[in-house]
Amino acid sequence: MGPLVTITLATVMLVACAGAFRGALRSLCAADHWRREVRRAAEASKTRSSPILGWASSGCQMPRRVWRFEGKIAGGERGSLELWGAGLLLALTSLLLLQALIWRHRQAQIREHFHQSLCLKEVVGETRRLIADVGALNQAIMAGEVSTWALTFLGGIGLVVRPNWEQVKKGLQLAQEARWSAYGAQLVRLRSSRCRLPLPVWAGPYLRDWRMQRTPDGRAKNRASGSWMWQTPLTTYRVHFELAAPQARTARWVVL
Amino acid sequence: MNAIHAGLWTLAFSVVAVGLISVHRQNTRQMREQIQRFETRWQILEERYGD
Repeated sequence: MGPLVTITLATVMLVACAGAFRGALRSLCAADHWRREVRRAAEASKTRSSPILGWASSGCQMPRRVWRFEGKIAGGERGSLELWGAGLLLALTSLLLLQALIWRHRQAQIREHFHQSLCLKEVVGETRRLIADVGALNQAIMAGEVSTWALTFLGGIGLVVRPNWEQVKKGLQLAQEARWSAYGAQLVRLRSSRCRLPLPVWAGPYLRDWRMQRTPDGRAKNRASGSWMWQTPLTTYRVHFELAAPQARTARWVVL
Repeated sequence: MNAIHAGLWTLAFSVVAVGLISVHRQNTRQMREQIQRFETRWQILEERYGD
């Protein structure tokens, strides 16, 4: 049962309850009306003669209005039953709505918990892969094959890692909070942007742009920057990154 | 008239009761499916990345 059906059912029940309440209250109000009428008639009979004499002179029969009043009292009893029934129905309907709301809230909580757990597990795995790839790039740079191997490995990172932005953000938070020094790398800066290019899905994640930063005399600064771009059915993401080897002879990398 | 009245009340209570039961059954089924999806996805991630 979807939310629309639940809401429709609850609305119908509430309208039915309101109608039942209205009928019951009208019955009770009618009983009050006739009670007032009888009291007024009794007061009027007092002014004319004594009630006993009046009753005796009418042939020892109850006045018609009293009979009608008693009939309405019976109606009032029925209205009271309707009131109880409508109250019970209203309570059950409220229970139905409350049950639906509580379950929906609980399901949302559990779904969020599951999503966070899966994201964290994926982020840990992807970050390990990223660190391994960066380590391989570091080895290539140390071997003096920066320009060619950098392109190769950066392309490899872009094709293999395939992160999505939520995971990258969570990875960034994780790195900042847990300080993953054990992996020899630290995520310091990672920029992202969304572009809504009508790229075909088969374009997939690929290395969009990269360049080696060079010193004025043309030597490589042991830094590389680039961007990953990948596409989901809804939007296209692009992450810009910079890689740098802060200490030339260490095997550690810092991902800027 | 009384029969119609009683029938309407019975129908109203029945609709609410059926609604309660069906909402409970549907929520339970959704929760079970959600847990199954999570466990499947978790298994895939463990196979891909290890523990």
